[in-house]
Amino acid sequence: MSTKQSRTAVLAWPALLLVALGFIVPVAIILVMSVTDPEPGTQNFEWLATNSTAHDILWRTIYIAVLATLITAVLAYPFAYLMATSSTLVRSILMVVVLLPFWTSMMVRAFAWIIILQKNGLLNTVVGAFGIDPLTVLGTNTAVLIGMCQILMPFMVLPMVSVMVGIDSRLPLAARIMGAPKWKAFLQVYFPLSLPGVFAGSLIVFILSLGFYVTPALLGSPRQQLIPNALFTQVLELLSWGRGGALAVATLVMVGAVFLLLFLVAKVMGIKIGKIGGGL
Amino acid sequence: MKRYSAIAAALILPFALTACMQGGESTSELNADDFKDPVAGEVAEGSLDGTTMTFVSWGGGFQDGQTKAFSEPFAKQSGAEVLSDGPTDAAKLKAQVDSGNVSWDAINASPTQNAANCGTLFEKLDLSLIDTSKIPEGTPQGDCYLPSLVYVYGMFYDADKYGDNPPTGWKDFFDTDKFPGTRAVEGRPSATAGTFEAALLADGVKPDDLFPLDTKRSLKKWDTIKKDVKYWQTGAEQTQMAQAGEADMIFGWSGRIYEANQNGSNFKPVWDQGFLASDTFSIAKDSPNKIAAHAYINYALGAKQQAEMAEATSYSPVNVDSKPKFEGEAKEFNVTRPEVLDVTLPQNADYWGENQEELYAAWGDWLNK
Repeated sequence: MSTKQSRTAVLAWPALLLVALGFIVPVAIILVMSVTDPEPGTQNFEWLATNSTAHDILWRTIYIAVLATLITAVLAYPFAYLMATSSTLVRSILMVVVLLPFWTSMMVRAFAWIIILQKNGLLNTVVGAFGIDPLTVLGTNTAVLIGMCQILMPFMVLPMVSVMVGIDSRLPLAARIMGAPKWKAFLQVYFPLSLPGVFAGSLIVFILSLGFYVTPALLGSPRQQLIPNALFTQVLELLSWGRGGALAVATLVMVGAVFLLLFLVAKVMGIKIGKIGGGL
Repeated sequence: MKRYSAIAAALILPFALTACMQGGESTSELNADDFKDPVAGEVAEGSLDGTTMTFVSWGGGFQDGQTKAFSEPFAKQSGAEVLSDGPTDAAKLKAQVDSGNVSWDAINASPTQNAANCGTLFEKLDLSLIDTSKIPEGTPQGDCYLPSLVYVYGMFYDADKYGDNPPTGWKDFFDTDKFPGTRAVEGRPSATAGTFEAALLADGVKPDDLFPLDTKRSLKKWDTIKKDVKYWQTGAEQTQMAQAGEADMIFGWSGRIYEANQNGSNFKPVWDQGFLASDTFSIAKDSPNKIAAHAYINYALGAKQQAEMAEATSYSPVNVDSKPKFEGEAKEFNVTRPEVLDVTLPQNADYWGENQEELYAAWGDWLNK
């Protein structure tokens, strides 16, 4: 390590300390607790392995997270493309459009969706005017997905845009000059180059979706519990911190598996995963 | 090498810090004998000079009401400084007790929480320091808790829908042929005590034969109306569902339905075989201010204090001499009237506390099935 490097490394220490104290230590405690609370042994993981409700909840959480990732990716891509290919002024305006809801609390947005989606809400007033029977949206997975996708959209758009603005616009142009039709130039040149952004956005959105508590609790149905809600019951209601720990470990393993899978896919396809968090 | 020592320091530091914080605050020396022969609602002037204690409750407007009715006058009379904290959270309390650093004293909690953790997270109450003679009979009480307010966990129906032929008991709640319409019920796995009992009563079980609870039979009864059931997960959601017309009958908490009616909905209570439920006064295990906490609870149980609390919140007082100034509908929703107390059943918090894990698992499985 050169002196210059070690001098800059000092600047990273406060952040490192914060991560160690605020993240690594608590996670280590949870890991230990999952095999020691209430007594040393594997009983918490045995409970997790044999409890069919817990399995339903785990699978449902993955299913919702995958759907949320796909939906946000499909919705975000054209928007990000528009942002990346517009003038600076238009891009700034679109950026504010993305970030505006980001500055509103999650709770407030969930309550706004309740008002819109409930039985006598805005949605049913509008569809009622067209003679359509009232729809039941509140309390379903659809409502949860609507709420989640709105919250997660910026996390998908920003990494996409940061990769897309880096794509040399002369490349698709070259394809056009060589006689490729517009769609082919996009599909075979632009799209593969934008994939690192799609991967980065998907990764972040998937991981965030696994941890949603407020939105499913307010918009969903208790019949469709997700991991965070199950954790709440174990940790805060039953004070069963060991079982909570086992659930948390299972979630961590799932996130690890998804990371691994995505890296493998990216490696096979020869894609470098884009910067997470934008960089505009 | 240097890098490793930095990481080691980062790992050791939090433990060192918690070690420094151990021990809690030292309290002024109080003699329990000075607080014997208590009278509800009274505390000797200046008897707690120099004491700082903490009262914990659910927060929000509800806790503001309690602070005005209990903490402020208690602090003025006794000389103690009373801090507020919240919300009541058994996990937070467990963390405090496990680390030996308890900063909570008197706690407004739920009786099931108290019963499930009596002696481990909550102190057994010393009833020589609290005057319980004015607490209405039939309200839930246990070794670690006394009622702090009462309400009814029971059925409420939309009078606009069932006006001519209203439902009168649990049988009707579970009869969707005679009384078609959606029912809003407990949606948390941590069910309110009474959830299994209601279905058993509807199925013909006598109130005296309810315990031990036959959860299988109860859930079978619940299955019969599952397609007409909607779920609430908070008190606020009950209010919202009543106001928004999301449900035609609600198996919920009287205070929350009263709030909805104040905002324009028209739900009527069925008190018969409703479950008389309470919040509780309890004391944190190893609280550094046990004597002051007992004095606080004794004071808060006074007739005047309870009346003020009831007027400020939507709940009913737990002192038989308490005469809150209620108008109109508030009178009807005051559940500490003999007309209501005579027909309701007390929540069996001790049974629910002892069998908490099994009961919550059964309800949670049913919800997710």
